[in-house]
Amino acid sequence: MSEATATSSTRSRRSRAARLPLALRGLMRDLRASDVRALFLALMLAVAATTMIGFFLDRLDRGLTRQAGQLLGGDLVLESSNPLDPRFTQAFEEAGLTMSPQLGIVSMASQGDNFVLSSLKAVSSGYPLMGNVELESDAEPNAGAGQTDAANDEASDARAAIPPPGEAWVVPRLAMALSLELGDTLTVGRKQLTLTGLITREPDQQGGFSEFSPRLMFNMADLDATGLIQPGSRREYRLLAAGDPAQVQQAREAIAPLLASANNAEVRLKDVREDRPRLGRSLERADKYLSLAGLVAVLLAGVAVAMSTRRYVERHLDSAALWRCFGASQRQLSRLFAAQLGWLALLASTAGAVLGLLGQMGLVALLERFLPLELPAPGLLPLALGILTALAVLVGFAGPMLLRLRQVSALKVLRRELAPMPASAWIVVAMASLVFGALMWLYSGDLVLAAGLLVGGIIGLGVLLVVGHLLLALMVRIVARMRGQGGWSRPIRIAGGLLARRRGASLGQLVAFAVTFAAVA
Amino acid sequence: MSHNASINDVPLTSDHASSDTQSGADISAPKAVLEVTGLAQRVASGEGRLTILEQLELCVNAGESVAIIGASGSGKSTLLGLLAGLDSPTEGDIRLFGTSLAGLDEDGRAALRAGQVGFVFQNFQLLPTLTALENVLMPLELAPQGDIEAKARDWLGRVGLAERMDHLPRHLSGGEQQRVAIARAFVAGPGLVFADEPTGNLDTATGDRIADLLFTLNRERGTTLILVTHDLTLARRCDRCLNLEAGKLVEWQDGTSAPAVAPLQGGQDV
Repeated sequence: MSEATATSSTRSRRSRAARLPLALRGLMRDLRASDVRALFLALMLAVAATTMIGFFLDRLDRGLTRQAGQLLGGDLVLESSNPLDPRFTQAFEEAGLTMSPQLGIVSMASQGDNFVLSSLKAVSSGYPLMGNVELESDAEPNAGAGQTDAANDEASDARAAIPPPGEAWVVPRLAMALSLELGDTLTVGRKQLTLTGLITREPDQQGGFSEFSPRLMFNMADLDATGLIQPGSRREYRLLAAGDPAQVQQAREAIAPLLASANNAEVRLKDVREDRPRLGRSLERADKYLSLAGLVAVLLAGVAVAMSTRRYVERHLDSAALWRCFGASQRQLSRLFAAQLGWLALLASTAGAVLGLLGQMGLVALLERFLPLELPAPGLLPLALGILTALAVLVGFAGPMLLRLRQVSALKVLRRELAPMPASAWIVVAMASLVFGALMWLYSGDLVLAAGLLVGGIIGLGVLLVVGHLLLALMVRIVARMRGQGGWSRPIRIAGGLLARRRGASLGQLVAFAVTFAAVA
Repeated sequence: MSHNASINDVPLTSDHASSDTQSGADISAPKAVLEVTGLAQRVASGEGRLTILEQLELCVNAGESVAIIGASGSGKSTLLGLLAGLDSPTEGDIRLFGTSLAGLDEDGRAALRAGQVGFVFQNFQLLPTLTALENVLMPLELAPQGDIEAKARDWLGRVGLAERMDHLPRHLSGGEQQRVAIARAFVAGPGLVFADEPTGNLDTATGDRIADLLFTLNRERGTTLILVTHDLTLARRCDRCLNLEAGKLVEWQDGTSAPAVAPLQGGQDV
């Protein structure tokens, strides 16, 4: 490249840079300073840690919800030993939920002289709302265990696949007990049905008493012909419903008065969120634990942000004074530094989110063998939470210190000693504690736990400050006794003297290191 | 201005205003850029209130260059801070470009300075993480108009640093850093430039070159210059020279002896 071309290219790059907002230009220039790079790294790592765990837990949560939904048969399931109040159906319809009524009944299935007590399930169109019925005879809807969301979506046609009228699907155990083969007929009540499918897997298995008997599934249209609905027969009417969380919530609220009425005393509501399998509860505990572990990373990042911000502010006191000299108002300065740090948070969040995404992929790959379920693709919520975390850490751990920049007087350009008073240590600690407590609550979802940890942490911090203060006082006495001695005691005396002179800063650093080590431990 | 100097009392109206003021200025009736009336500054000290400036009067016309000399601790920097609106006086009023600073808060005074006032400091006050070009860009970036980068580059060229635009201050010599600071002071086209000991941190030869540059640019641009210095040689290059003594400004005129507080020989600091 010729010199002229190189110069032109450099100028062109500069012109492009000049078109960027002032705050972003300032940030790019500021990245030459180590404190800004440290701030960037601290925020990026905080976001990476929280998004990695967030993405993983989000996938786990949605996987569990899907699994629970499949086990339950829908987001909401109403069960009753009597026909359900039609107002339930009406409420679900109004909320926009998709529904599938079904009837469960324990009765005999027979072929010739063979009788087996079976768990009959009469299903109607729309069944199953979640998951698939897998048949040995039909490979099409048989996507198999471990299918992904996408595979489920692709196989959604199979949801409509229920036994046509006059046909029945049974589990292989029942077929064997009745010596049935595909195409044979069996009798249910007064109705003869043709066996057309062997069920290898079905959703909404409730695991109740009826599940001890082998499954036989037939079309609801054949129910009356079986003549099984008689006084005293053991039956269970079920209404399965599914929809998005808002619709489910609306439906829940709409049916709450109905459930409370005496007429519906025996109606039970099952919710996918509340009726998760036991496995889910174990994973939920792991979820909470991992979230709090992620917060340790946030705490470490917070300490790093606080320390870097202190240096950042000290360094920018001069530039703030110069800006004031050149005519910047306090508001302009506040906006400038806020926007600059906003850009920093955004860029660090983006980089951290990418790292977090890659990290969770690695985490899933590592844990794949141990996970009892297939995880869906990650959602966007953890990303938003990551960015929110970065901003919260910045505001909580750096906010009070940044206010100093706003208070810089233009006169500082002539009198360097005129720096605004540092933010009160109490305000800095209080703000950081408040934000960290809020983050703990957000991530753990447990206010008592978050408050407990926060209060415990603050008490620990107080004890640490008192102990640190006493240790410094002790050190000052020891150093005083060493006065006049030469040799090995000289560096100790000098170091001790320095620590004692800057007692506040020494205590601050002591606390920062103690919090860091405690978090790591 | 001769080396024989005498000290005259105030009022320090500008009879000496140079005729080569800013282009377009009314030469027959020079326009006052800075007017000071009854200025006093007192600060609290351990034993009551300490008077730094007392009943100070001053008028500086457009295009004039005025040197303020005085011993260390005489209040030169305090006066400069007040004149530039960086601080508020205890008493009196300052009118900058015809606007009284008395009724303005710090933001109002900052707004008045924007684009109209330039500064050159003894310690250069360049931001260490910014290149020479970026430092010069600073005053233009608050309210950018046109190609500000081209303008900053042009000014760095004028002060002889065309080849060092991308250098950080730590890679520049003291003289080069002060050149950057001078480019930064003039880049926004100010009507008034305050210079606080502009050669104070430089050796004599470099200081002379920096002074040449400052006065050349000042003359070319028709800028009003208020210079605070210990250096009588530098002070003599200004149209007027005022000595700050016991909180009062007194004029040091051509043909009188050097003030006791100032160096007896040019270039030497008190």
